[in-house]
Parts: sequence; C-alpha cells; structure tokens
Amino acid sequence: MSVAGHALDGHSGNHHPEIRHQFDDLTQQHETYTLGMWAFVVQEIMFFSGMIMAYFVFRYKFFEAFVDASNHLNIYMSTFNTVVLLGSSFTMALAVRAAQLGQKDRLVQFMVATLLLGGVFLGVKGYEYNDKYQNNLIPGYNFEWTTSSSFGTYSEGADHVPLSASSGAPINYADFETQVSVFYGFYFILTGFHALHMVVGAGIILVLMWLSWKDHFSPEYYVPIEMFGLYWHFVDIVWIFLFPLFYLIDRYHSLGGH
Amino acid sequence: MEHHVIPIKTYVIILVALLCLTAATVTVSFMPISPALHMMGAIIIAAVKTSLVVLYFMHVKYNDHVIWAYAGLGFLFVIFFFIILLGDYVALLNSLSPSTYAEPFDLF
Repeated sequence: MSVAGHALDGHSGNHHPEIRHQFDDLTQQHETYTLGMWAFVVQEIMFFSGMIMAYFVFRYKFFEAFVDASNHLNIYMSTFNTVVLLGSSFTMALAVRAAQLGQKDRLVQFMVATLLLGGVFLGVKGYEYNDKYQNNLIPGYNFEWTTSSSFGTYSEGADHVPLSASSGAPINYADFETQVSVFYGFYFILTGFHALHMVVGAGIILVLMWLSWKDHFSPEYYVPIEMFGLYWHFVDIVWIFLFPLFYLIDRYHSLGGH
Repeated sequence: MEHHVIPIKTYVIILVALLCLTAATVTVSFMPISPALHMMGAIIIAAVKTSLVVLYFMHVKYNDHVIWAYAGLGFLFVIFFFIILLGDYVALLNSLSPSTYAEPFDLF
C-alpha cells in the first residue's frame, strides 16, 4: 500500500495486512466478525428449535410410542458419542487457545484431534443408522415396528393393547406403529441435520488446518479459527439437547418399571 | 488488541463438569419419576451444559456486552416461541384430541 493510500485510510500505525479497509483496527474487526458469527449461530438455533418444537408437540401427543421408540435406541453408543463430541469441543477450545498464543504446532494438533473425534462420532452415527436400516426402522421406506411395548404386549391385529399409561385407553396397533414411525422421522431428520452440520464442519476444519500449516494465522489474526470454534461448539450444543430428547425418554421403562 | 486467554485448567474443569452433567442426565432418565419431571430434568441439565459451553468454550463470558446481549436474546427468543406455541398446542390438543390416540399425561 502506498504512503498516500495509508494516509487516506486515516489509520495511524497498527496496520496489519489482514485488516479489511472498512475497519479501524484489528479489535474492531474482531468484534464485528464475532457479532456476525453470533448472528449466524442464533439463526441456526432458530432452525433447529423449530424442529425440536414440532418434536415436543408429538412427544406430548404420542407419549407411549415415543417412550417405547426411545428405549429401543442404543444408550451405550449415544452416551459414548456424547462424550466424544464434548471431547471434540474441548480440543477445539484448546485449538483456539493455541491460536491466541501463536502455538502453530499445537493449533494443528488440536484441530487434528477435533477432526478425529468428529470422525468417530460420525462413524458411530453411521453404524446406528445402518442398524436402523437392518431392523426396518426407516419411516416411509421399510418401517415395521415389532418390538414389544413396555406398556403391555401386543401383536398385529390385536387392537386392545398396549394401554395408555395415563388414561388407560387402548391404543390400536396400527396407530401405535404410525406413532413410533413419527418418532423415528424426527430422529432421522434432527440427527441427520446435526450430522450434516458436522460433515460441513469437518470440511471447513480441513481447510483451516491447511491454512494454519501455511502460517496464515498469527496471535493478531486468527479470526477464522475462532469463528469455526463458535460453529463447532454450536453443533455440540445441538447434540446436548438431541441426546436426552431422543435417547433418554423415561428410560426406567426399560428396567421394567412403569 | 488484547484477547483474554483462558487457562487450560478452566477448560479442563468445564469438560469435567460437562461429563458429570452427561452422567447426571442419563441417571435422571432411569429414575422412577413422572414424565414431566423427566422432561424438566433433561431440559434443565441440557440448559446448564449449554450455558457452560456458551460462557467458556464460546468465550461469551469474556466478550463484549453486545455479544452477551445477542447470544442471550437468541436463546430468549427460542424460549418465547416454545412457551407461546406449546401453550397453544397443549390447549388445542386437549380440546381436539381424537379418542383413538393416547391422552396427554398429567403434569404432576
């Protein structure tokens, strides 16, 4: 940049090559980026909360079916996955910290760890999806609900069991199967969108790893790392809610209690 | 420009807290309590976990007040939507519920 151009900018000193011309300094640029990223995150929260809202309506309406369907999901894998995802959020937070301190090697290492943990999560998720496919639990494709209910036993054609735990009213088998398929519909859409966000995140982190390796970032300028951190933590928050909402509905029914 | 660098120890404490809360939410789901309490337990624990992630991992605790307001308002809006819409749905479902479906559970 020419001396004249610099004078026109109205800046005095502190001229980092990564400052875009509409910003006075790195601090202002950083705060603006952070606010913009939060606008995106808040928008994403709205996106997921709409679907979770619909989930609550149907959970209230088809409560028994939701309990049975939830108890059928694999609690070990999902708890493991929760721990893995919390761990990846932790390593991402440490990656941002390494970027703040200009520790390039640790920055890349922590991002590799984040990517690996994200990969483990998606792998387990893929295994679970395959399990649902093998057991004919894909709504609209091959859905068939043959698991016995924790609210009573039933078989196809029998239309008096299970009984609704709250009102004692009989639930028709075909209705019950439809209600369970509604649960699985929500399960696939919400965990599917969550997994999609993780796949997108994995792509972004690969680019950031490359840029970090190429010394693109410094303690003065690491905004992309921090913004990606916000995104990754947001994905973690979505899972924090999806985990109890899908996997942990009244689990004590699986212990034989009512 | 100054950035608040959080010590690694703080991050470790937050991670341990998040793992403990995960254990807590699993434990609560196995307790023989009413469906409404299950729901409340799950949501309250998830909200606490979210607060920890937002405040420490996402640095909101150390950010500008504008970010505070922005993040806070986002979550506040979600709570508003839920209260307004769910209140409406609960009232409607109770009056329109076809008899073939399960009745909604009692709250307490």
